[in-house]
This record gives sequence, C-alpha cells and structure tokens, in this order.
Amino acid sequence: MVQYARPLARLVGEFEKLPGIGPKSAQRLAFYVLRLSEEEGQALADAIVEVKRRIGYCRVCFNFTDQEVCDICRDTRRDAGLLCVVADPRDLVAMEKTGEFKGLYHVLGGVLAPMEGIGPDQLKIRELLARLRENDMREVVIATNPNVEGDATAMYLATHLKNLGVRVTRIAHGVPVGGDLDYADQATLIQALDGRREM
Amino acid sequence: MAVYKTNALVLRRIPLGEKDKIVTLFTREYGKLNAVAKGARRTTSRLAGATEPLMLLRALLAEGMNLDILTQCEIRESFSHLRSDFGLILRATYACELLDKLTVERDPSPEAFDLLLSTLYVLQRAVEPDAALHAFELQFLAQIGYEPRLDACARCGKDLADGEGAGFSASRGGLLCGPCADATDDTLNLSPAAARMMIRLLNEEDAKALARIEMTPTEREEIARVLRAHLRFRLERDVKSTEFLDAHRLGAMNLTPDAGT
Ligand SMILES: [Zn+2]
Ligand SMILES: [Zn+2]
Repeated sequence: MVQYARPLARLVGEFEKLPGIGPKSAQRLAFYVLRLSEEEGQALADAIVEVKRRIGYCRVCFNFTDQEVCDICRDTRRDAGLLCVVADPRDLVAMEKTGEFKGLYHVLGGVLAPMEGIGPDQLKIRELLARLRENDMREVVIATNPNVEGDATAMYLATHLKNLGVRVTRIAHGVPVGGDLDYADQATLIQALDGRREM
Repeated sequence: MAVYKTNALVLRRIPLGEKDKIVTLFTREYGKLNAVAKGARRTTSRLAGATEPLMLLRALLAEGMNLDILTQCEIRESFSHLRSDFGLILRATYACELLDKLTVERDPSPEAFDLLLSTLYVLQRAVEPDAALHAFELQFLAQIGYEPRLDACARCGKDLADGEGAGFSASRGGLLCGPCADATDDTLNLSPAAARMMIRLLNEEDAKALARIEMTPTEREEIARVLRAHLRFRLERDVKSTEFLDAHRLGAMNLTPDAGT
C-alpha cells in the first residue's frame, strides 16, 4: 500500500467518508485539492466552515436556512393557506423548481421507517400539528415518495391531520411525462391505474 | 456469466452509490440473497418500482463477482391493498423483518417463502389482521424449531389438553401448569381461550379460514404479549418494527407526549 504524507492521508480519509466516494475517488479529489492555489484551497475550506457555522433549520418549516426563519416562510406573496409536506430539503428544492407551487412547506426530516426504527417522534410531525393548530390552512399536500415508507408516512399524516379538520391531498404518481407506456415499469403503471381520473 | 430465474419477494433495499440499490430478495429456490439493481434509483428505470419492499417478482439474476445482479424482472404481485393501509403495511413489514432476521443467506426454504407469501395475501383480506400475523409468527417459528409448547407444561411436561394451562413462560418456551406457573418468575397471563386460539393459529393452513378468524380483545392482547416475549427470548437481535406495531395496536400510534418540542 502507498504511504501518503500524513496531511494528505488525512484529506483522503476525510473524502472517503463522503457518500458515494470510494478510496479511488477520494484519492483523485485529494490530488485535485493538492494542485489548487492556496487561495482556491482556502475558498473551499471557508465554504465548508461557513456552511457548518451559518446554516441551520428554519424555526417554522425546518428547511435549511442561514436565518431564523427562511425566505419562503417570510415571503408574504405566497399562499399561507396551502402547505406542502416533504420528507427532505432536497424534495422542497425539487418542488420549488417547478415554479408551480405557491404555498408554504413543512420539512419532516425523513420518513417513517419501521425497519430502521424511525418513528413519528424522530420526525417534525409534532411541529407540523402545532403549526396547523395555530394557523388556518385550507389544504395540506403530502409529497412523500411513492414507496413503502412514503406511503406509510402519508397515511399516518392523513389520519392525524384529518382530525384537525384540514383537507389532506397527496401528489399523484404515474407515468412520467414524455414517457412511453410501453416502456413504463409495471409498478408505475399499476399506480397510474389506481390513480386514474374521471374524464 | 451464469444467469438464473427465480420467484422473489423484495424484503428490503438500501441505496448503493448514486443510482443503484442493493435489494434483499427472499427467493423460493435459493433462499435469501442480496443483489445489485443497477440504475434502480432513477425514476425512469424500469427496475425502480419493482425493487421496492413487498414486491413479488419473477426475477432474472446474473452471477456477479461479489453480489449477483438483478438484470430484469416482472412484477407478479404488488400487494397494492397492503400498501394502502397503515396497519397492514406495519404488519407486512414486521413479517418481512422477522423472516429476514431469522434466516441466513442462500439457505433455501420454500416452506418459509410460501408461508410469507400466503400471509401477505391473507393480510389483504383478513377480518383480523393480527390473526394472520400471529399465524405467520407461530408457523414460521415451528419451521425453524422455535415453536412454543402448547400441548403440555413447558416445565414439568404434564399434559395440558385444550390450552388449559395457568400461564405462559417465555424462558420455558410454552404453556405452564398451575404449580409450575407459580414457581416460574416470568409467567405471563394466557387464558385457556387465548391458548386455544394460538393452537388454532399454529395449525391453520387454509388461507380462507385464516382470513375469517376473529379474536376477542383479551385473546388479541394476551397472544401479542406472549409471542413478543417468546420471540425476544429466542432472538439475539431486536426486530425494530415490533415497537411500531405494538404502538399501533395500542392506539393510533400517537406521538409520545414529552419527546421533542
Ligand atoms: Zn421556513
Ligand atoms: Zn408443570
């Protein structure tokens, strides 16, 4: 095995901890960093430190933000009667990119996963219920993934939210736009059939 | 590279890299095995939906260097009714996890495969889902030699006809007679009616009959507690979905009052 100088070995080791990065990729990244100018290296290090220091969770919706309340929650032009519940900040970003959703969000921080022991208490569900009690919402749109955990989470939420008298919907799942029925996988087709609509 | 076809139920899956999944399949012919499903995390992949838990597949696998590769599959049953009921998802997930925890890789057990499959079907239309689930627990335990003793005292061996015992001991692994129930530390209540129900669930193999079984609240409660203890004593590992299921049975799985803010 190749012995790196200690600082280099340390950097390779840190990269290896990143998701999807194996020893080869870690080595490649470390050598890339090694070739950066000192300013470039500093900029990278600063970006990492700044993210860790300044980014936290929005007090209201639990999205990532560098403020106490995030930009979306403070935006008065958005529809405060419509709430979209997502599992993860990345799902929020995906929804925002569509430009179609004008309401507010609530980030659960995961989904119910019985086999992993992740229950309602580990998610921001209590906070969601409190938010709905304090604010008048017309509709809650549940946008969890169409899989066992996403389904379980959606059903759990629906039961609890309906007790509060709010309308609960879930985003539809089906054949991808531009997709070919012939090529769609069966699970998608089955779901598309289940979610068919009157014409 | 050798390829093979098999009937498989997806027990669970974990992400691999950016686009792939490792799926744990319980196959009828080869037992439990892990396989890589390449590209299955992309929404456009034909494998995406099929490689989710509780999917019954006809799968084509190719032998790989470390893990085999799931190259093609066809969904035979997606159990969509199970997926649309919170309580049923929890029970089905628990059955899969229990089987996963109590089997080793590449140890074929067609009986266990058939039992799990028929349990999933029965769950979809059972009057009493817990009857279907307890029947699975009992019959699976019997397959692997862990079944609780219900026809005689598990301590002294005295015959106990028709579930007429005085309690159940997890450490002894079965029903106890009166004197033994008093002399054992971990004796749990198990009324003769509940013990008889357990005997029935252990032996009932007809899916239609299982789906029609009803239980009284006492039977439901006692059997759940007794089986939980029996399993905990024999398993070296925790079945994580147990906690969920128990909470769900106690009510609508309410949030615990003081955790979090
Ligand atoms: Zn916010
Ligand atoms: Zn005895």
